[in-house]
Formats: sequence, C-alpha cells, structure tokens
Amino acid sequence: MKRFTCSGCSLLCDDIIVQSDGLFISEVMGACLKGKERFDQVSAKNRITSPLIRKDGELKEVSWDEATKKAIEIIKNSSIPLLYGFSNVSCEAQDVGIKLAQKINGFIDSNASICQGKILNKAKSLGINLTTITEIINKGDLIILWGANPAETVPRLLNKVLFSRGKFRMTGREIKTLVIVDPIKTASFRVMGVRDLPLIIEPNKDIDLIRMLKEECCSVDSIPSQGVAGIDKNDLKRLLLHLTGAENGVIILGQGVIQPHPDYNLVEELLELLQMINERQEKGRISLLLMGGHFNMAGFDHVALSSFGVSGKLEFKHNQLIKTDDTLVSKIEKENFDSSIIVGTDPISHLPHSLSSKIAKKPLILIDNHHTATSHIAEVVLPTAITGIESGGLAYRLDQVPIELNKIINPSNNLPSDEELLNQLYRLINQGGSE
Amino acid sequence: MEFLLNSMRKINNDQVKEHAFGTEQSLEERLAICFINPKDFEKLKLVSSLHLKISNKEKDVIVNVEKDDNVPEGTVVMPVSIWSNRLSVVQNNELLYKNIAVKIEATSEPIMKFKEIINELLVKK
Amino acid sequence: MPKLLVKNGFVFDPFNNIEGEKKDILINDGKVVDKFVSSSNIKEIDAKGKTVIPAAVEIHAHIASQQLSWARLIGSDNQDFHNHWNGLTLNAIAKDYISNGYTFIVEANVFPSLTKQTIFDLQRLPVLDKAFLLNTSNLWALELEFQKEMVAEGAVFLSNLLEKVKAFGLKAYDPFEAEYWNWKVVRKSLTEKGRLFNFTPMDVYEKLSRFVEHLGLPHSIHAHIEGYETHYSKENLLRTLIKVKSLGLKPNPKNDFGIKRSQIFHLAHGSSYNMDGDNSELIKIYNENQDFDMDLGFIGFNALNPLITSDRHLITKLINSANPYKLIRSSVESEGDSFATLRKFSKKKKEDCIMWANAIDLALSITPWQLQFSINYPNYADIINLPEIASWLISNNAREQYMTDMESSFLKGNSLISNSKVLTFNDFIILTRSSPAKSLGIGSIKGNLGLGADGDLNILNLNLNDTDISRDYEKFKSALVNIEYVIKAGGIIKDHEKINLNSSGKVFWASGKPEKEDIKSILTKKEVFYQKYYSNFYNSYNTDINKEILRKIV
Repeated sequence: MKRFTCSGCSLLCDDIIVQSDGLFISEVMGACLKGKERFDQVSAKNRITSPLIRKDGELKEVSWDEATKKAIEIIKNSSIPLLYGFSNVSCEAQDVGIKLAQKINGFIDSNASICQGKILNKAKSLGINLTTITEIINKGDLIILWGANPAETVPRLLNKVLFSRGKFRMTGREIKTLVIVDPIKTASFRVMGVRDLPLIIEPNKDIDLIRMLKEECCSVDSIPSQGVAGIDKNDLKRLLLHLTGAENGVIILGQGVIQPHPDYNLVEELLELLQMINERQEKGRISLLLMGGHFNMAGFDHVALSSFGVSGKLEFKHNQLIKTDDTLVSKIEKENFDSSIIVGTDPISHLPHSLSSKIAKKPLILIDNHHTATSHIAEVVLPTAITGIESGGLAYRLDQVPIELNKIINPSNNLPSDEELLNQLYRLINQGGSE
Repeated sequence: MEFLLNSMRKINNDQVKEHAFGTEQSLEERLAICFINPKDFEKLKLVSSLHLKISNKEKDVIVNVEKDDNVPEGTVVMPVSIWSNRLSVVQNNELLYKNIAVKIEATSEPIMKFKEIINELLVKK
Repeated sequence: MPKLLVKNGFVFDPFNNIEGEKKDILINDGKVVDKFVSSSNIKEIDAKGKTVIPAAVEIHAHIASQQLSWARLIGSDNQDFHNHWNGLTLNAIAKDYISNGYTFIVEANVFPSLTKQTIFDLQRLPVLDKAFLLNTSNLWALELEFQKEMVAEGAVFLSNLLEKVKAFGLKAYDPFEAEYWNWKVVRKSLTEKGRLFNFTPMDVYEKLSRFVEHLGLPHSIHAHIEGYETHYSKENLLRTLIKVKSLGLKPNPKNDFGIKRSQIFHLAHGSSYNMDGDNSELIKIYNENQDFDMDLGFIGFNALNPLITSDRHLITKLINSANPYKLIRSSVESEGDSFATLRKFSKKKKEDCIMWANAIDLALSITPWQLQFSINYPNYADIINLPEIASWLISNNAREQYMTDMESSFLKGNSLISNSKVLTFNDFIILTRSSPAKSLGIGSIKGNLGLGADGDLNILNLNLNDTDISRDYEKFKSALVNIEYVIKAGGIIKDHEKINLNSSGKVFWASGKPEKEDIKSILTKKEVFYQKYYSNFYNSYNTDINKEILRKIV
C-alpha cells in the first residue's frame, strides 16, 4: 500500500493509495472516476500491447522490428511530417518529441494549441495573472467557473479548492463563493449552495457580459435593468460586487471561453477585463486558472520554451527552428504536411471532420496505449507503457506546478515508455543519416 | 429547425473510455447521442424510436436523442466524439466546438455507425 | 578522461597567490594534479605567450526557472528579444556562458513547488556544473520558527527540504510580501508585522541567516533587498545589514573543503539599492565588515532585457511608468509571487546610468574578495557583455568612452566621472573566478588551479607582460571575446570558435548538517501542516533525479 500520483487528468492528485506488488495493481483507493479509469487502462479490453501495421486494410500484429522499420520508412519518405499530441506523455517524452521533429524537418505542436495554449498565447500581448491550487485552498474566497465544467473533466478540482479548509479560509465552503457562467446547467452546478451564483448565460453572449463588466467596472449603478446576455440585473450586480470585492478570486477557464468568433476575441476581452479589475480593485486580486484536462497539457509549453524559446507550433528545416505563420490547424487545412506522427491523442475523434479527413489521407504513425478512432486509420501503431503507472516522468498540473509521476508496475509486454520509443525512433533516423 | 450545437465533455459519455474499454456498440450507444430540452423534444415531434439528424454545411450526422432539462431550448448538446466533430467547424484558422449553427430534424433513418465514419475516412486515402 | 597538459602559460590563480608566473597546469581525471602517473595519452596545449586562468563562476543568474519561461513566452513574439536573446534557450545560455569562460552557474531564485522545473531544466543545460538557491522567504511551514526562537527545528526542516529538492542554498527575498494579496499594495517597512503573520520581514532575514549557519551550508544566506531600483531600497538595505551584523553570527560552513567562505551574508546585485548614486554608506559598512559580500549587478544597456523578479516595488514602479511590455504575474503555492516582463534600459535615463555607475563604484571601492561579478542575468545585462563590462573596470579610458553619451545631469553629478581608479587583471580574476567560488563555499574546487581543484580553466590570447590593459583595453576585450580554450574537468569544451555541448555537468547541492534534534517529530509536524494546507503531500517535494549527475557538497 503506497501513495502515488494519478495521471487521470491535469489535477495530478498525489493521494491515490495503490496496492501493488510491482507486477500487478490489485487495488486503487481514493481515485475519482477518471482516475479509476486511468488505472483500469492497464488491463483495458482494447489495450494495444503489440505493434500493429495495416496490411490489406486491417491492422495486424507484427514484431517491433517490422513496425519500427515501417515507421522509419514513412518518416524517411516524408519531407514535411506533422507531429501532434504530446499532452498525455511525460515532459521527457515531449523533449524527445521536439528533438525528433527537429531531426526530421517536422512541424510539432501539442493539444494545448487548440485548448489552453490559446490563452497563454494571448498572455504574450496582454499579460496574465495566474494562481495555483494551494493559493486557492488557503486564500480563495471567490471561484468562478467560466465555460468550464470540472465535474466532468477534472472531477476533484472543486473538492480541492472549494470544499477544502485553508489557512485563511478555515470555514471552508461557507466562505467560498462559487459562480458558474455557462449556457448549460452542467453537472458542476450540482454543488451550488444558497449563497452561490449560477449564471446561465445565453449561448454566445459571453462577450456581452464581459463588455458590460468592463463598462460598469466597479460601479453597480448603471447595469441595464433588463439584464445582459440572459442574466438578470440582480445577478449581474452580485457578480460585479463579487469581482470587485473578492480578497482572492480565481476564474477557472474552460473550452467555453476559447471558442472563436469572427468579430471579436473573447479571451482578449476577458484578459483586458481582468487587468482592469486588478487595477481598480482595492481589496484583493483576481487570478486565472487554465483548465485543460490532459494530464500534461501544460508541460509541452514549458519544454518547448526552454528548448526553443517558443511555446508551440515549432517548425524545423535543416535542424533549425524556422519562423512559421502556420498553426496546427492551418497546416492540416492546407494539407501542408505529408505524414503525421500522433502521440497520445485521438485527432480523428476530436478534430473537426474537415481536418480529420485530411489527416486520414496521409500516412499516420500512432503512438498510444489503446485503440481509438485514430488507430482505425493508422498505418502503424506503436504501443507504449502508460505514463504514471508503467513508466514515470515529469508532468505539469493545470496550474503550472511540476509534479513527478512514478512507475508503479512493470509495463505489460515490456512496452517501452513514450520517451524510450521516441528516443529509439530518433536513434534509428540518426543512424540512417536521413533527411 | 435552426439550433445551436454545443459539444462538451461528459464523464459518462467519454470517448476515451469507450474506445479503451467498450465495444463498437457501447461506443455508439454512449457517443452517437445528443441531448435536447424536453420542450424542443416535443416541438420536433420526437419519440423514442426516432433519431435526430443534425446537419450544417460541413456534414450531417444521425444520432440518438434524449431529453435533458439542463439543456436550454434551442441548443442541442453532444458529447465530444467523432460524431459531434462531423459538425464542428474550422473558422479562420480556429476550431469551433460550441454554439455551432445547425439544422435539426427528427428522422427514422438509423444512427450513423462508427464503421461508416471510419470507412468514409479510409476511402479518402 | 584524457590527461591534459597546458604548458608554458602565464597563470593567474589568486587562491594560490600566482600572479602571472609561467607555469604548467596538469589535469588528470578531471582534477588538477602536480604530476602524471603515466606519460601516455596526454593531450598538450601550448599556451606560450598566453594567459591561463581558472574558469569563471556565476553566482547569481536566472537560467532555469518557471519565471524565465514566462519571460521567454512574452519575448517570443518580440523581434528585438529574438534577435538578441535567441529565445533564451538552455542551449543558448550554455553556449554564451561557455564562450565567456564559465563552467559553473547558480540559478538564484526557485520556489520549493517549482524546483522540479528547475531540476528538469538544469539536467538539460549542457556542460555546465550548476546549482540553485531555494527561496524560503515565504514559507508558511516555518511560521512558528520565524516568530519564535526555534532555530534548530527550522534548520532540521530546511535541511530535509533542501535534500528533497536538491537545492544548494537559501535565498532571502521580500519575505511574505506575497501575503499582501492586492497587487497594488507595496510594503513600506521591513520592521512591521503583517496582517496575516506575527513576525516582521526583518525577522525572516534574521532567522534564515541563523538557519544557514546552524546547518553549515557552503554558501551564506543570499539576500535580495526589498524595493530594489526604487528609493525604498537604500533604507531597507542599511537596516538589514545593521540587523544582520547585530546577530553576531560567525560563518560556520560544515563542508570538508579547505577553502571556506568568510561571509555570513551575501547581497545580490549591489548596484540596485542606492538609487541616489551615493554608495558611501554601503562601501563603509563593507570595508569595516569582512563578513559581508555582494555580487555587483552590472548594467549592460542591451536593446531589451527580460525582467524576472519577485519584488512588488519594482513591478509597481514599472507599471506606473507605463512600461509597454506585458506582465505575467503568478502566485505560487503560497510560497511567493513571481513576475516576468521585458524592459529597456537607456543611457538617456538618469536612474539607469546611476545603477550602471553604482556597480563600478562599488567594484572600485571594496576589496575584490568581498565582491563578485554578476549581471543579474538576464535582467541587467547579457553575459556576452562581459568583455565590455570588464573593460570599464580595468581602464578609465574605456569607462569614459562608454559614458560620453549618457544622460547629462547624471554626467554632471556622478562621482564616477572623477574616479580614475582601475582594477588590475588579478582583481578581475578574483571578481569573476576566485571570489564567487569562495563565497559559494566551493573555492577548493572552482576558480582555483591548485592541487585537487576541478580541472576547469581558460586560455586567453593575452600577454600581460607586454600589454598594459588599462591603456590597451581593446586587446583585453578581444582576448575575452575570443577565449581560445575553455576546459572543463580536463576536457576541451571550447576550442577557438568550436563549442562542444555534448557533455553534462553536475548539479551541486547541499542540505547541511543540522544539530541532532528529534528529526522525526519535527518532520511529522511539517507533514501534517502540508497535508492540511497544501495541494500535495510534503513527500511530493521529493525529486527523483539520477544520482550520477548529483554532487553533494555537504
């Protein structure tokens, strides 16, 4: 019985009790549903434990030799490979992935580029105030979920930050106010109490709310009597009072706020609003928490920044990082790639069809633990050990705090870790002296 | 009817889980599904044997439909999946997953099978 | 490892009182030896007519921290930043430092919860030996120990924490300033208790100094004084120095090396505290107290500098002066605040010129053994500015030339104008090699070409017998810009233009030797504290790091 850190989501809880003999896990205690599913993945029905190659339209089990040979062949025949994913692997693997991209003149980006990375991107030109979980535990008195539904993506987040008693919040839940801004009454609303503030906003009207808050910042006198964005005047008043009076508030941002709009940029306006509130607030501060769900989404940016000085969309030519106007989306849309290496993610499922159909057209190498829609398309599938269970490494929690993951049991079938596999591909390419 | 499609992560309709642990059947049960407000359910004259056809200029998809009080009228919610992403949109180099303009109608046509979507993608190779 | 013989060079080795004599340096198995056991496989470098010096030691830089990543993020869209700093990547940093003769570098400020990022980055920083300082100035786990007389208990805990995270020393930095949650609140006094804590910032400086001596860490407390670059810092600095002096501490490093530090207090970037340009009081205190030392913090007037700081005063000053660059602010796990932005120094800004002059003034007025060369990298200058900065120290002409286009009221008023003092080459070596090594407690192995020291050295194309560097400073600069050889552990890492980044240095760390106390019960209390108030268990601070790359000092 030992305590381990869970890699089920970006909260990276370190209080999971695992009973194991190093070969099998017999019991897992304290994990939420997502964590439990993560541990269950070891023996999942559709786990892949041998490399696969598509032959005559069907995936067939082959030897490691044959599979890696095939992968190398695809890479060698490719002059503009696309590398994508990397949010469900360790920082060590991210580091090697970037080195591999450099070696093969690739374009590499992580899931963050279509998720939380967009907010960090805006932070470059607008600045940002961040905070961390312990800060919210100890000091938070206002927690706003905006377009974020932790109950179904980071299940224990509210447990940790809302229900905990902190050093300066000994009365815990009683003193912490929860506000949820969402067009849909999600499962996260279920924890709302009488003093909390549920704001069911009209779809696509977040911009109106933000603009109203900017205009009325810190003065409740001129809130429109008919409300804004489907939220009534009294609720708006309460929201403004909370924002301007909180001693230590945090806005937790989810997918809902990073949706694009042709006429405005919601993230920009939100960051500007927060800047304004922090400037005018006399009592405390409002910070942000970016709620990406993948267990190491935040890590890729840090690895890329320290290795190459940019947080994403790294394009390499002749071993050099080159300036690029391309993003992951534009690369795929314009079909400006001729093969892809997909690592720990399922783009065929999670990208819009117009993009996934383009990815499907080109040879695809998949590095993952179990079957997905993408494995149904892949030419080659190279399975790896499950990070945080069968291999260790560094990962970043959603609040940018680095957390170590441990190896608990030996990987099924001696599977390599993502880091080892990517290193092997790198070495083979290097030996072959390819371009 | 003109609606807004909102795809979201749902812990009990999770594609990672279904792909890892489920069968094609459970995948379809859990993910080829959408949720609408009971009032809209009625307006569309839906019954349990009918499905919902959701379409926009990208593509269309036919899925199961269930009532959910928490979904506002005029919105259809789908769990994030290969089904919902037939409708999600690339807009100015950005991905739109929520509040996508769609048309919906009741249909007796069968739901779109996972194999169908995959085969369509494979054929394009 | 190959044997290396550097022969016929004019050696400068202040620790061993060698000032320009012709001497051979022999390196075997990474260490300086006086003879080779066998004469096979010896790589020879003929340094005839050249100068041989120990490799340089960087005592205060920001190279491997989350704050630096935020600075990189802001800089990534800025063409000036990109042109100058090359993304500030780990490889770029290593290359530039090696080019300037360095083999050892200290990351000056890391919060406990972010140490894993630092370790991950340090592991990927090629070649250089390295260490980092742990910022324990806002540690709520030590609330009682900061309040009361509980030095042994505090020391036991910190020793354990240092061991878990593999830090080298303790950083004192704006204690509990982060606990004024409104970003606009700027603390006026170091001797007032806070709303949330029942001790003063000064108490924290005192206690941290005591913890360090109790543990016998190789380096003294490394202190940043609150309000630097603003008018607050002069007073804060003097009060702090007076307070620390009054403690009557004696340096008590417990490591085995023959050469130990003499200081009980290290001041970071001394240039940044006397914004009126008057360093006389600071100089007086340092001249009367050999147990204080400081790194200087030279300003290089780059096109653009990142600013990585945890000081509320400075950030507020920048915001109020409408700094056009954006700010990334973060509070980290109730361990402190961090700020990252960009800024421009300008020769046309009087304040910036004053800071520039302060560094030189202090360098010329205090014995070099109490000073260390630094540029608060990358905040104040780039390491590639070193040759130019050094030229201001050894040549009055160089200084004057550089000053000609500075702000006019500065030129009228500043005492440096009439100061014609210069440092010798030997002084320069002390400032950049011997003194920082000694201050860090590693003088027996770094900054030293004596027996048993690490075989780290530079060969310069410079003959001080026929060059008067105070006049011919261009020759001096050129020798430093083009260091011919940089050797680390007897291996060649720079050979003229070629730099070899294919080796790994070691992470130096220290946890000291606490006096025997009931370690278990002290740690249990801390574990309970973390369990109650932190997002992770205390044990999670443990860093899993390959022992091969660690080097424990004590």
